Amino acid sequence: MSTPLQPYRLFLQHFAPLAFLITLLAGGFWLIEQHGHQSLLDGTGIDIKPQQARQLLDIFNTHQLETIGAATIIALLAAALIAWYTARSRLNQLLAEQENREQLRKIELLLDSTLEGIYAVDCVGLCTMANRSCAQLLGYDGPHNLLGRQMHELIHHTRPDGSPYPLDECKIHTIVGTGSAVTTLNDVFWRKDGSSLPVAYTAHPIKDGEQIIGAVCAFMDLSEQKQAEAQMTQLEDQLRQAQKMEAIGQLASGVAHDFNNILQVISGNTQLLQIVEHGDLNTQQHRLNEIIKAVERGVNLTRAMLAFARRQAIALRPVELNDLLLESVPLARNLLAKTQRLELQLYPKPLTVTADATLLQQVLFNLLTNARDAMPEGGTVTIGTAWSDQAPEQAVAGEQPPAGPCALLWVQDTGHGISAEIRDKIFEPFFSTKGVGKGTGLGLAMIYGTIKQHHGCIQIESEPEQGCRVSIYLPCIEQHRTSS
Amino acid sequence: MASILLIDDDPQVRSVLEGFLNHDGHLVICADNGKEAFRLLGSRRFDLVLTDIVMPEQDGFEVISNLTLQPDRPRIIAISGGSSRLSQQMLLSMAAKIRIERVLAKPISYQQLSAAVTEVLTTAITTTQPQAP
Repeated sequence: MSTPLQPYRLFLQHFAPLAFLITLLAGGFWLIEQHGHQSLLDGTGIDIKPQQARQLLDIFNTHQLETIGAATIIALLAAALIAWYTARSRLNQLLAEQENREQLRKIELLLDSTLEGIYAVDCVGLCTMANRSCAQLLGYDGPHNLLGRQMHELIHHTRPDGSPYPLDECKIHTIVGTGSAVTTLNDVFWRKDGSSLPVAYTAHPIKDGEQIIGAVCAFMDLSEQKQAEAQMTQLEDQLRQAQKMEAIGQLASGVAHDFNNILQVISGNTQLLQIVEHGDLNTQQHRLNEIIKAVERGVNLTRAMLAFARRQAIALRPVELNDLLLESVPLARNLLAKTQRLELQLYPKPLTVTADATLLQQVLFNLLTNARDAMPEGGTVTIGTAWSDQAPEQAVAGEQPPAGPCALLWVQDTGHGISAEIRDKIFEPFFSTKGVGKGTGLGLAMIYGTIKQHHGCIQIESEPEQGCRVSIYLPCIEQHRTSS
Repeated sequence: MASILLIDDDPQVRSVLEGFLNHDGHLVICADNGKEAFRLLGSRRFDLVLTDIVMPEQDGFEVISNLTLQPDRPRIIAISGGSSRLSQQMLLSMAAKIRIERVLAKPISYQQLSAAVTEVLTTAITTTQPQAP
């Protein structure tokens, strides 16, 4: 620490020895010369009376004193100057060193205050620096325990999956050779006690001018994050399970409702056959038919339920959509009422998808049934195929809309259309706008499930009273474009 | 011999219940949704309304709830296609809005329906809580 007196002290430190030396030399010189004067006088050969000789000697001595004195003073002045310059430069040096120490201390404080662990290695991989966090996170008492250690062998020796991680493959170590930085979001460091520490790290080369002299690695402890992720996954699973249970609950109550109706019809008609005596044969036949119809409804209901619920082992094969539609036309015409027309709009080139043809046909028939029911006063249903270079973003999809080109299968009606609110709900099991007895409410849910299994997506375009167009997008395994 | 409005959107169920009621000599007029029921209610007088509680939509009941405001309203019997416990719940939630004379659960036999209709037609309009099935 510099004090106000330090410059003077330094000066004296430098000046004193010099002054002492000069004085010593001057004194010595004077003593030697003293004796010289007498022999000088004797050497001249001139006859001098003792009294005169003494006077001469006195004059000599005085002169000598003055000369030596002057020389000494000059020498001392010179020494003072030299001492002053030297003291000053020494002072600057001391101040610079102090500033360096301060800087270093601040940097150390900074490094030791971070959450991240930071350490540096030289070109061989030995630790040249480690901050407090680094030591703490890795379970060491202090950074000094890490200095000089081979870091990769110490903390990075094994991969997260348990396989050994050789030094020459270590991403941090190779920086010394490549000179490019590395970021890894998911890795593992090993603590002193052998336990693992999930980390994310970035490592950069340390350059002195153009030369790489080592690498520095900053890493973050991901333990809390991993824990939070695990909890999140657990919560998501629980939520999904709860949703599934709710869906199953809804399904069950819907099914119960439908079945109760079916049972009412069967039991009721049976009773009427019993209690109505002398009823005419036509009515009786009608009642028997009603019973049979109700049984069919029951069969369809269970079938639809099973199709919705089970994880079907579907048989995927290449299916050409135009062929599929053409095959379906006779049955389709049967489905529609007499007041309804069926039209076809086929894409001019073959469209091949990987699908289960039976399931796709079922989808088509479900859509046709909906179209039919949407036009109680008659209308036109058009079924068609098309090609698109990508699936629409607004589609209803299983997980994600298929990437890349798609083949389309679409059904359009001229019926009463679907409003926006209903459009969001129509894929829910048992949601139906048709009322009980017309459809199970499972048709669209079945379509949704099937298309999801085919990795496709569904788009619905409709406005109230403006008809409806349902398009099924399926990944297309062969691209056939029209020349446009 | 009463005039009965039957509301159910399942045509097969309508046919059966109509058959039951006709056998007892009642006049039955059918509606397959709430809107149509409302129209019919406005066009003539009924002694009894027999209606399905359609899940999830209850537009039939919303229409009928307007009836309770009229002084000379028809009696009401509700038929539920859900579980009996659900009927109870429906009953409680609806009791706040409208007064239903009886709630029955499908499938209902001819005898049950006949008895219920007769009973309801011969009692005064209730002002207390309706009976559970």
